[in-house]
Amino acid sequence: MLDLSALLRPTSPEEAVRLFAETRGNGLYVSGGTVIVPSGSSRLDFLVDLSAAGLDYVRPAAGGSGEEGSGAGPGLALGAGTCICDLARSQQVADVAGGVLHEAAAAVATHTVRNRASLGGNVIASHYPTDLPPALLVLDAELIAMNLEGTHEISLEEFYANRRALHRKGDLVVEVRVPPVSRGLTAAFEKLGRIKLDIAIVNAAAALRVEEGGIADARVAVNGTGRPPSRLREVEAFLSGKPTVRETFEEAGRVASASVDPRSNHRASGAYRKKMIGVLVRRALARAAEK
Amino acid sequence: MELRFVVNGRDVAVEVEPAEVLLDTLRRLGSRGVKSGCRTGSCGTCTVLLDGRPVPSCTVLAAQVEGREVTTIEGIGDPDSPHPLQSAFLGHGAAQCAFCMQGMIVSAKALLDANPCPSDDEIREGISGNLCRCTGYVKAIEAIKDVAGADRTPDLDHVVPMRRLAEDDRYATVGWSVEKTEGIGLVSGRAKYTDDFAFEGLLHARIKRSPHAHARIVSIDASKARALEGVHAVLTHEDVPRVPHSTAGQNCPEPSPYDSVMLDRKVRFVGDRVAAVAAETPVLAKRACDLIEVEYEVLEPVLDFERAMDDGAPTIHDEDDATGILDASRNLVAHVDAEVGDVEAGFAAADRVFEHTYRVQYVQANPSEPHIAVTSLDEKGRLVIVTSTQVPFHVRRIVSRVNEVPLHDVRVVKPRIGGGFGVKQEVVVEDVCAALTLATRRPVKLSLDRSEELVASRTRHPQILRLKTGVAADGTILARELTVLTNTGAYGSHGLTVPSNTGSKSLPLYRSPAIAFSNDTVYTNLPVGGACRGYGAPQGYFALDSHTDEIAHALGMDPAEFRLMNAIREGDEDPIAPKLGEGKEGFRRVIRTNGLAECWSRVSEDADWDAWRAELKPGEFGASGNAPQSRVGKGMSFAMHGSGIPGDDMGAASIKANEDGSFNLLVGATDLGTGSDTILAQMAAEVLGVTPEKIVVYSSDTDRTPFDVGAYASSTTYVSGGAVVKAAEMVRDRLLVHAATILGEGPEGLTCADGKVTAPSGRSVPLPEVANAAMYGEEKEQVSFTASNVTLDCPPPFAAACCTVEVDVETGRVDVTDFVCAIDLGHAINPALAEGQIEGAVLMGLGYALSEEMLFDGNGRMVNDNLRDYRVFSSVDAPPIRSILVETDEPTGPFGAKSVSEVPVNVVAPAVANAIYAATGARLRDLPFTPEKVLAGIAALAAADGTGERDETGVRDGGRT
Repeated sequence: MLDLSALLRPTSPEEAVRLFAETRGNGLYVSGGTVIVPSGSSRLDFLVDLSAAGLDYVRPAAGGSGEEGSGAGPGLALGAGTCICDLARSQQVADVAGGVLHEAAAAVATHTVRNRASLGGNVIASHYPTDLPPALLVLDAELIAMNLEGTHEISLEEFYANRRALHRKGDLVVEVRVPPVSRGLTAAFEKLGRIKLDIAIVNAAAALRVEEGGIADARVAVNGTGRPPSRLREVEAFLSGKPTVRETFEEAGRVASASVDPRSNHRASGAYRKKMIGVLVRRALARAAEK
Repeated sequence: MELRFVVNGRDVAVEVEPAEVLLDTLRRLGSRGVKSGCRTGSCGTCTVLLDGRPVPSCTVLAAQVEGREVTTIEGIGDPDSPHPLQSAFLGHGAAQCAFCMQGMIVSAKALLDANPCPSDDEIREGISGNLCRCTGYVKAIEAIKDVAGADRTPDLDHVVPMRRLAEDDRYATVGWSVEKTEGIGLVSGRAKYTDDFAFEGLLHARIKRSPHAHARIVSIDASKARALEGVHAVLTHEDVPRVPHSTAGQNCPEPSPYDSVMLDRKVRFVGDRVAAVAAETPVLAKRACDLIEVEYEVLEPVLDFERAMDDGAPTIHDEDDATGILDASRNLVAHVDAEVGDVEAGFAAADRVFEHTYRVQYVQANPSEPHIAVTSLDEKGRLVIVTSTQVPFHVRRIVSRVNEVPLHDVRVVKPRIGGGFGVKQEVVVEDVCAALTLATRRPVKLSLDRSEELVASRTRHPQILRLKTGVAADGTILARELTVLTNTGAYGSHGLTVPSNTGSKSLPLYRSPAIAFSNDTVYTNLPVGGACRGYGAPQGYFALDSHTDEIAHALGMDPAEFRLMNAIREGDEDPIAPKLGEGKEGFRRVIRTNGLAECWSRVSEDADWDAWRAELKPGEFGASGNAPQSRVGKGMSFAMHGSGIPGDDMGAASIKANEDGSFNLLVGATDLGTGSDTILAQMAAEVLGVTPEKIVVYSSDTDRTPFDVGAYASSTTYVSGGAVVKAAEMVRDRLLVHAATILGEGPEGLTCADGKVTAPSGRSVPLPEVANAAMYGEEKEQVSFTASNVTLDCPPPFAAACCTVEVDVETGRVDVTDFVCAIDLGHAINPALAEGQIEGAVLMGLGYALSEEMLFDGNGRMVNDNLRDYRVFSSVDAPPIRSILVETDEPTGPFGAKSVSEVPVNVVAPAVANAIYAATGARLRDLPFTPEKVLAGIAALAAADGTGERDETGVRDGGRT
C-alpha cells in the first residue's frame, strides 16, 4: 500500500507542474492510478493528481492542417488524462488511419480498467509492454510536455529513444498530438498474449499509404522487446515502393524479425518474441493494406 | 483531507488519508458489498460506478472522487427492493461464494444502462473486469440476458424451481434448483464475510516475510518497530511457543509431517514468515515491518525439485524437532508405493509398451477472497476466531495446540467465505493472528494480500509423472505403472496424501490386471503445496488421459472406443483403493453406479464428435479454422473421483424442532460458497416433509454446531448429507410419536409430507400442530437429535468431456472455442448449483491447461505474484461451457447422491492437450500450454517430418514396440 504524506489536486497543468516542483520528497503525477496505486511503492512521498487538471479531452488539433485539398485529415489533440475507454469510444479516434489507435485502446486490459487508465499513463509506463505506443508511433504522434519553463514538443519516437534526457523529473506530459494523417494512410494493431485478456507478450502496429506503383509510406512499430517501444526503420525502408502483395508482407515480417533482438522474461523467451514480431508485423501490414 | 462526494445518492463528507483508496473509504462508510480481492484493479470484486461508469475502486484514490457520484451494489438494489439483475443472478444460480458477484452485478448494471440489448460478446466484454472462480460466467451471462432488453422482473419460471428427473416423483424438494438459503442478501452486499464484522479496537496485523529462499536468521532487532507509536505487538521466533505441527487441516493425527512452527529461526522460501506485527492501522503495520532489522545467513536454496535428493543438496529441514519426515537429510518428505498384480509380467506379455513423461506446474487456486482471520477475546477471555476457512474444527485443534491454549477456550466461527478450493483447508493465518491477540488482548485482523495469497498460502503441487502402459494388440491394457515425483515446496502439508490421490483417484479408471504406483515427495525452497480442488487427481489425469489418448492414436483406435473398452464398469472393484488410502491402507471399493458411458454419449452428441471424426482423414490433423493460419481440433477425456475419505471423514448434524413446524439445522459442514447449506437444508426438508424455507441453517461454529471434518475431499453432500438425513429421520420419527397421540392412531404407517403428518386412514394433522404439541402439550420435550455419519464407501462420480480448440499455428496461441462436460453425480440434489460446480471447475481447469503458472526467478522469488500477470480465465477468455448432469442412483448416498465439485477439474487439461494434438499433431506433455510451447511443439513436428522420423500413427517420441 502507498504511504503518502501528500496528495495534491491542481486544477490546471501549470499548477500541477508548480506543485510538483514545490513539494519535498519523491513524487509522481497520477491520473487513473491503475499502475501507481497498486504498486504500493514505499519510496513515494507524494502524488500530484491530474484528474482535476483539465487534461481529459479528445479534439481536433488546433492549427492542424486538415485544409481542403491537403489530402490530410484533421490532427487530434488528446489530453494526457483522457481515459483509454474514451479513446476506444471516440469516433474521431476511430476515424484516424483506419482506427489503429481505437484497436490498440480496445486491447488494453479490461473495460473497467480502461475507464480509469489514462492515455498519458499508458504512454509513459515502462514496466510492461503497453498497447497504445505502437499505434501512436505509426501515427507519428508527438508529446506535449510541460515544466516550469513552459511547454515543449517531443516526438514520441525520440521520447522512447532518449527518455532520460528528454523527460526530466517534474516534467508533465499534458497532451499526445496525432498529426494530420495523409489521405489513404491506413493502419492496424496486433497483440499476442497467453490468452485474450493478458499483458502483451509482444504487440505491433503498421501503417501504409499506397500510391500507384507501390507503397509510398510505411510505418511499423513494436513493443515488448524488453526495450522501449520503437519504430522498425529497416522494415519501413524495405517496404518503400514495394507492391502490397502477400510476399511483400511475408518478407517484411522476416526483416522485422531479423531487425530486433528482444529480451527474455517470464512471459516469453527472446527467441519466441523475435519470431512473433515477424508474425505480428506481417499481419498488421496485411490488415492495414486491406483497410 | 476532507472529501465530499455522493454515495448512492447521499451527500457524504469524510476525512481521508492522502493514500487512501476509494474501496476503503466506501467500506468505512458502510458499503460492505464493496469487496477487497486483489488491490491491483484486476479481479473486480471492488467494482463501483463512478459517475455511472464501472471502475475498480481499489485503484482510485479516495480524494480523486471529490464532487463525483459513486454507486455501489447497495445503491443498485437492496433485499427489500432488489434490482432485477440481483434476482436473476440468484435465480440462475450464478452466485456461489458471491464475493465477486457484487462487483459483477455493478458492471452488468452499467452495461445494461448503456446498452439495454447487449449481444453475448458485449455481455462478456461488459463483465470482463470481474473474475469469478466459483461458478464461472455461464450462469451470469444467462442472468444478464434474462434481464436485458426489458424493464421487467426476470423471467425465472424456467429456472426456479427446475426439476431434473422428470419422471421421478419420489422427492418433493431434493432434485429441485431451489435458491440458495442465503437469499437475496447474498447478491445485495449484505452477506457477512470475515472482513465485514465490526470489532471495537481492532488492530491490523502484517507479516514480515523472507526475501531469501533459504536462510538462517542470525538476529532480529525489532526495537525500532516496537518503539513506533501505534504498534502494539511485534512477534518473532523468540516470542512465541515453538510447537512443531502440520498446517494441513486433516484428521488427527495428520498424515502430513510436523515440520512447521509459528515463527522459526530459519526461512525456507521467499515469503516465509519472519515476524508478525499488530498495529493501529495497516500502514503502521507495514512501517513496523520495514523497521524490523534482520540479519540472515543466506543458505544455498533447492529450486529444482529433480535435484532435491541429490547427494550434497542443502538440507531444508535440518531442525531436530520435526517429526513425520521420511528422510529429512535427503529432503524426502514421503514415499508411497502400491502394486496390484505383476506389472513386469504384464509388460512382458504386452504387444506394445508405451512410456511417456508429463510435467505439471505450480498454480494457486486464487479464491476471490484471500485468506483472512479476525481473532479476539470474548467477555470470558476465550479466544474467538472468525476466519475464512474450510476446516473450522481443525483450525480450533491446531490453533489451540500451537498457541498452548486449551481447546475449550477456543471458538472458531466461519462466516460466509469467498471461495476456498482447498487452499483454505490449511492454517496459514489463524495461528499467528491468535498469538497477536493473546499478546495484545485486542482484536486483530490478519488478511493476506493477493501476492501473499499466491506465494505464502498454499498451491497445487507440481509433479513429474512417468506413465508406462503395456497393451495387447486388441487394445486391452495388461499392465500400467505410474511413477511420480512431487514437489511440496518448503513444508510438507498434504505432501503424502496429495500424491497418493494422484494415483488412487486416476489409476482405477481403466481396467488393468497389474498396476504399480510409486511416488517420492521432496522439499524445495519454493511455495508450499497443499490441497487444491482435485487434490492430486488433476495432475494424475493430465498424465493418464493424455497417455491414454497417445496409446489409442498409436494403436489406430478411436480414442473414445479405446477408453470405453478399458473403462471400469459397474460391479467392478477398484483394485487400488485397498492399497492406497489416506496415507495408509484404504478400503475395499465396489463400483455400484457408473454413468460414464452415458456421459460420453451425451457429450459426443453435443460436441458433434462423430461428425468430426468422420471428416478426419487418416494421418491428418486438424480442420481449417476461421483464419488461414488456424487449425481446429477436438479432444476428449474421461475421469472419475471420490466422495469423501472413507473411514476418515465424519460429519455431524443436529436438528431441533420449533413449535411452528420449522427446524434449526446445525451442521459442522462448511459452505465455501458451494451451496452446501442449501442442499443440506433441502435434504432435511425432504425427510421432514416441509419446504426448505422451514429449515433454518446454521453452520460451522465450533461452539454451536456439531463436528465436521470440513469441506474437502468432495465429502459434504455425501458424508455430511448422510448425517443430515439420519438426524432428520430421528426428529421425524419422534414427531410421529407426538402426531400419533394427536391422531389417536399408532405411529406405524404415519408419513410426514407436505407440511403435515398423515395416517394410513387418511386423517392428517398439520406439522406445526404436532411441533406445538411436542413443546407445550402434555408430554413436553425439545425434539432434537444429533447424528453423525462415517462411511467406508467412496462412490466415484464420473466425468466425460470434449474440448474444441482453435490453434493459431503461427503463434501457438490456443483458443478454446467450446467445452462440453457431463458428470455422473448420482442424483443431483440441486441441479443449478451442481452445474455451477461443473462450469466453475472447467474454467479453473482451463486456466491450469493454458494460462496459470507461478513463475520464479533464479532466487526463488515469484515474478508474477499478481492477477495482472498470473492470468486466470476471464469472461472473454472463457468458451461456451455446457454442463450435462447424468444421473445415477447411488445406493450408498443420500437420495442417491455422489459428489460433483472436484471431478470436473480432472478432465480439462487432458481434453485440451488431446484437442491440441487433434488440431496440430503436436503432443504436449508439459503444462501449461503457452503459445511458445505450442509453437515449439508444432515446430518439432515439422523438423521430424523433414528427417522422416514421423511414424504412421502420428505419435512421436513415445511409442516403443
